[in-house]
Amino acid sequence: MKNETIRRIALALAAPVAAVFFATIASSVFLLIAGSNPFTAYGDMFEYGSRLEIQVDILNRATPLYISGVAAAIGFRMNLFNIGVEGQYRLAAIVAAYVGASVSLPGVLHIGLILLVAMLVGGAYSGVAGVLKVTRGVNEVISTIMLNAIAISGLIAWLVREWQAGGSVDATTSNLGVGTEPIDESGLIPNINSWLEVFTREIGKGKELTGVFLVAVAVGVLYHILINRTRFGFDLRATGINPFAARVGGVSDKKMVLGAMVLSGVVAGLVGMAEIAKLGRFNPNFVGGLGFAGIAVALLGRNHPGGIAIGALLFAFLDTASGVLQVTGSASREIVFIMQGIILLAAVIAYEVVQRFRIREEARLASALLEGESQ
Amino acid sequence: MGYQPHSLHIQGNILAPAIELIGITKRFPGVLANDNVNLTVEEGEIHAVCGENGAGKSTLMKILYGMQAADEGTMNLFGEEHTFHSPNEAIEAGIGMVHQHFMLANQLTVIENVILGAEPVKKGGLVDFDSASDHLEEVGKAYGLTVDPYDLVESLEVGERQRVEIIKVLFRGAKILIFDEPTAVLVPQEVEELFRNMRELKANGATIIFIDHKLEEVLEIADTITVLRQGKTVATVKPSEVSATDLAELMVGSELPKPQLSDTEASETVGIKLENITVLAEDERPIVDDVSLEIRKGEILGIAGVEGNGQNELVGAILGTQKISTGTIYLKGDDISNTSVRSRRENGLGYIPQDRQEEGLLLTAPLWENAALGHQTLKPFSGGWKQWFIDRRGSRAQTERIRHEFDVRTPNVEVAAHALSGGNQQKLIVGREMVSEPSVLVASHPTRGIDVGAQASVWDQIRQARSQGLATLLISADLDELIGLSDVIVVMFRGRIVAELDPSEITPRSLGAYMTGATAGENSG
Repeated sequence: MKNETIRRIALALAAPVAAVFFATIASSVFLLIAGSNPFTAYGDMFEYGSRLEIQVDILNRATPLYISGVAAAIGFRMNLFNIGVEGQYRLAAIVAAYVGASVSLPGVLHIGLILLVAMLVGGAYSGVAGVLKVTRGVNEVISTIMLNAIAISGLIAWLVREWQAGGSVDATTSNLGVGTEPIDESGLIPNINSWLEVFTREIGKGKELTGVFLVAVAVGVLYHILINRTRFGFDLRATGINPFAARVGGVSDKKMVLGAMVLSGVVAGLVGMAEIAKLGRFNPNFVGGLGFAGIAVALLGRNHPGGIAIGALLFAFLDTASGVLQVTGSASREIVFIMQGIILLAAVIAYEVVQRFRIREEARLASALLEGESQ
Repeated sequence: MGYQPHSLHIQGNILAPAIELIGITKRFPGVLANDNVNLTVEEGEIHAVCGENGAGKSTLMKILYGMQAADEGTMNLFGEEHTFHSPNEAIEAGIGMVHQHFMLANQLTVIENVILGAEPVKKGGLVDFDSASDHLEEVGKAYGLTVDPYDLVESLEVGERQRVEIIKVLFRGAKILIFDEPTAVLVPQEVEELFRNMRELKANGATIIFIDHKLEEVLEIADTITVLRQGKTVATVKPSEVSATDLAELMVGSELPKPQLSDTEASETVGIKLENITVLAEDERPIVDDVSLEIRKGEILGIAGVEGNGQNELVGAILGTQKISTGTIYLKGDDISNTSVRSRRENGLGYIPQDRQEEGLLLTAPLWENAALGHQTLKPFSGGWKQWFIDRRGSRAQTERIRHEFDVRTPNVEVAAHALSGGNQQKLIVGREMVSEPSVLVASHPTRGIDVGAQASVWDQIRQARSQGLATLLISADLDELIGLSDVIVVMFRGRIVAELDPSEITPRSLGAYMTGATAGENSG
């Protein structure tokens, strides 16, 4: 039994370790081709990443990545590809910022309202793709890509002018860029430096660990409970594994598609909250790309709540620590994009190989045990 | 010295049959798909191979076409021994397969489809359409098949598409053509056209193997008929010597198993009742046509029939996965025609699917989750005050119970379902349906592809449930199972129930005749 546990853990770790190992080697080759010394480059990144302030940056980056990863994973668990997280979180963020700025409430309620609006908007927007799929059979990949375009270059571009602080801008004004009205202090999720400082020295350089980190933890825990413990999660996973079996098992595929899509959008709505808490408003330079990065993180983490966390931290580390490469000049910063790509590719392949190995092992073990029994 | 063997060799070639399969045996786990099958096809004839589903026709053809390797036996083509490891080798040797479902790209032209995968190339790596269409024309002329090479496939009628399929095979130099149930997708006029084409092919020297189970068609077109039953060749006959009913009897077997059930235990209470159920296909054709039946508690009603005559759709209608266009279904007296699958399952409808891996199991999930599937809304899998949650402890305990009561051989209930053998997977499915104590069970081929031991245990379970008052709808191609278990047998043909038979008085002749439509029209209703 003990051996078996060790085996299982070893198997679970084999794929990501192999992926990172392979990615490191492949990236080294690219670094060498570019004329950089890979050891210096990695050394610089690790040295930089070991500083507390940088670790706070990494956590701040990992937080929205994680939430975005969970949003994508909810869809993946049912073989739904929600590419629309990108549009959903940005649209959610601007509406939540606008609503947050237009009310004044005591702290908890104010924050709660902003989060709630963000979740509702995210869920409603992804729900459009869900309804289209259920009623008209529109592939969710296509509809969410379209909805991204509508949200980002349509709705948000318009709303950011319409809701511009100090009155809407017209086409003739050129001073676009302030963003929405600022949200009162009471609506901003406070930093949790003091929580981290329990374990570490004081955080310097004015760095703040976002309070949304706690939201991300809650999202992870709830995701785990929902998927692995509830009936809804069971139906969702069953549909993902075998839609036909789920169907004759009484699972309504339409309800599940709609439910999973909306839920994915609800979580996506929270992706932009760390940025809102930092900026206190939505502005035209609001952080982008988190939705797409989340898809990668979910793939890397195999849709597993813990795995997504590791994936988010890894990507956040690479994103953040790569900043030092420009300073030290040991390599080009863009090498991390290559690394992220290779890690992802290697992970997908390694998981598949390990999975096949595991299936064969399991069948072999089961039949071996039975033969022992019958003799 | 050297002259005579050479001449004999040539002579042997001329006289040798186009195809000679000797002692072909093919085993799958738990099933003997082909059991010492012999088949001789003379050059230039149309040779029909018929038999029920599961008789081993498809396996035999897959072996001939190089898709599967035989475990035993030899295969001679024009007197020379061959072993194929892939369809490519079979094509090389002059064998072509005309698939039942067209393998054509609709947006491409005829010529593009024909050369797909075997494109002639001219200088510069460009596809040589001119030489291709010349060759196409040649082939078409040689075999009397005409089609415009530059027509888009999507603009063609079904019959024309089939002609493209045939030309595709001929284009690659096939001399022996295998037609796999080619009439299944055709309407009667198109069948006539196909037969004209086949005769034309034959007149031009092609050899044809024709797989079918529609007897009137077989009798019309074939020069020789070989009948398979349960993996064995039972007869090779000439159409002039037999009637459709004789053929039906050959397919079904001369001796039928005896009913094994004790006296009827059916109560007066009706478990499930279907009233005038009609299910329409996408093209508005009825797949299930005005079916009414009634199964009382403690009764097993068997449905006999060649597959594809509406059985699956009927099951879907009862289960709720198939939309019914007219008719009413009553479960224990309640109208359930418009209720969800889930509500039907919760109200005591059990289901053993015909394909356990496709419809029954979550292969990568542990056994206890598989045991919960279909019953996840009820105790002990969930329910009580925590009704939104899966009761993991209860599920595991229930799975242990299934494991012991139904003898599911597994190291523990945590292994994934794919680790189990087919028989054990099936016992798990039967177990999960039975322990939920359904009042009505729909069992579709409940023992297909599992070993004899597992089969016997599944039968026992069904009999036991019957004596406890379960109403069972049994669909099966296995006559041992059907006659051995059923209280009443109805025969489905082209979506209709064409006969209701008493299992103890059934004869191979009557059953075969109804199943193949050989008596349709005389005795329907």
